[in-house]
Amino acid sequence: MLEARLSSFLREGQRLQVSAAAVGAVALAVVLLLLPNWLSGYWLRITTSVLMFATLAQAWNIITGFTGYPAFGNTAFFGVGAYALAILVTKAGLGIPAAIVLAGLAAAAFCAVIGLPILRLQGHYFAIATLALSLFVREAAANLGWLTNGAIGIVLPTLASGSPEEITRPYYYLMLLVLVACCACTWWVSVSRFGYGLRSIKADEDAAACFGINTTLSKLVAWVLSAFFTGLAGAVWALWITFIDPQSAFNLAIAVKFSVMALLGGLGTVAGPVLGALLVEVLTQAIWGAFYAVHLAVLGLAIMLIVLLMPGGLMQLLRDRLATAKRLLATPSAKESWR
Amino acid sequence: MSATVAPALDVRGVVKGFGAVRAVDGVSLAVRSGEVLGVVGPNGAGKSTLVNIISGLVKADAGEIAYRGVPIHRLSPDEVARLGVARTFQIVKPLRDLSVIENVMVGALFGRRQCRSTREARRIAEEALAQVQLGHRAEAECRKISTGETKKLDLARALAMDPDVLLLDEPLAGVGARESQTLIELIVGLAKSGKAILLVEHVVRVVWTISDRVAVLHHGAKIAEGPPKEVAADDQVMAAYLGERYIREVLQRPADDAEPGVSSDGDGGP
Ligand SMILES: Nc1ncnc2c1ncn2[C@@H]1O[C@H](COP(=O)(O)OP(=O)(O)O)[C@@H](O)[C@H]1O
Ligand SMILES: [Mg+2]
Repeated sequence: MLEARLSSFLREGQRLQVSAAAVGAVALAVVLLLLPNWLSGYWLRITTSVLMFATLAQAWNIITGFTGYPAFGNTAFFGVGAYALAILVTKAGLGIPAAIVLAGLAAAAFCAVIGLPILRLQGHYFAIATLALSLFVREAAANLGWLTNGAIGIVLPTLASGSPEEITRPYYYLMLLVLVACCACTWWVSVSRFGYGLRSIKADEDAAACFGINTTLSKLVAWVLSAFFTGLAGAVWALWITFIDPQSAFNLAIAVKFSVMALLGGLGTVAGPVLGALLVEVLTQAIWGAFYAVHLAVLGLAIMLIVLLMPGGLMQLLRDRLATAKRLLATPSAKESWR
Repeated sequence: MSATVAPALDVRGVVKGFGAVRAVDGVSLAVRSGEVLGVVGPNGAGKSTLVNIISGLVKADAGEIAYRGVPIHRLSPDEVARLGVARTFQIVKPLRDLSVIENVMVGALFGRRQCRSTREARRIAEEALAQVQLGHRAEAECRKISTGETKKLDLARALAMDPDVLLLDEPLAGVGARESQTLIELIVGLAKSGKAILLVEHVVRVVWTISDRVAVLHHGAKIAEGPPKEVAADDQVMAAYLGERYIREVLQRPADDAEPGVSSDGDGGP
């Protein structure tokens, strides 16, 4: 009896949580759509950067947070997306929307080809192999001059002119669109059959296979999805900064940043990487202003402290708080039957 | 049972070496639907390796395995599982970060049932948890449950996969006496309902009471097989290979006792 009551109480709580989440999502959507009207050019650029890093952190979350494969070399797909877009726009004369989608698909296709051999590796070996991949692709971009202009780089046309706000606005919306798509995909992963497969692989790959999960295919699809959104973000980024070269498109500092963001926010959750991106970017700006000369050292220290103090990330912290609240709400007798 | 019907599980001449160790040395076994085959033997006899080979996790060096007449020894573990061969683990592998019921749902989603909807999977998981009497822990985090409960969870997941063949690797290890009784009754019931069960168990007493036939492994080789009474009466085999102390101690110990002293007496045998 008590158990039935308690579980219906919890289910009711979940339903409230879900509707609260829906209201929150709508409010957030309105704010995000109107935001460019309220922000200065400077803050709009920072916000666009938050959206980009949130996408990268979220895409990384699919393969690393849900599947447990530390793909630090995801910058390879960022660069491939950026270069694919630049080449499609400047050499093939494609329209922007088609070029963005194709750039994402190019990154995904590239991942599908190199994914199978690399995904045979696990743990540190996998991480290192993805880093090597990223460096290899950078060298390829530098040396395939006929396609990429080599070290000289590629200049892209701008999308808008006018005030700093007007110039940044289209990239803000494009980045927002990519992030929303990426978050929707991650949410699907978090609730779907496919996602259960990924989480099982993360927990124990051998056991997962024994439960009937096609681990090779699941891992590959997860990484291809991750590469697709990373490539989309790279494509929009290339449009935004209007000039790319191998050093900037295959920059491992980007990987350090998005992985820190995802870790900080909480891997394996949908909201975590986005929160992490927001926090780190805001921290970076604040620390940049206050400690101009040593901001990287201070940022590193701050991040180390945060990760040490809450290893599960922000989302774990929030969940723990929520669990405590729930326990306090439950009646003592219900607590007894729970045991 | 007609002799022309292929056994649910047919293992023939399986060999597996790890370096110099012959973990499994030419073992042949057959398990029919509705039957419990007990597999016993001291630590290191090759029981878990045999289960790993049948489930596809470890590739044998030689030998063949058929499931209802169809060869499966070249298949990957997920293919074997989807055909209808489910296993549990001696060292249970709960999927961390998933709750108890989600762990079991994985079995329904990816086992032979291939449930497409998570809601349907949840319903099946609830049934499976009820079967092992773990329903009250459905929403618990699996890292917070006891050893005995992880054993039940492991079995529930295997049941949710809807298998014809169940490979149980020491399902009672670490389970308390009363809960053991529940699981034993469940295993007997599953066999009655038509499943073929290969039961690896260290607690020999249990194997002897619920198995239709018993196979004894020692140093990777099968040294005896038959109805429990006959194998137990085969003093020569038991004494020579397992040591009298093994029988004496194990057969008289309570069911939840761990790790009986083994094999030191037997190693002098031929
Ligand atoms: N992956 C492995 N690598 C090397 N040796 C192994 C491996 N797995 C099992 N063995 C060896 O094979 C033998 C049989 O082990 P196992 O099948 O676990 O026995 P049991 O389950 O009967 O206790 C042991 O000698 C063990 O050390
Ligand atoms: Mg074993």
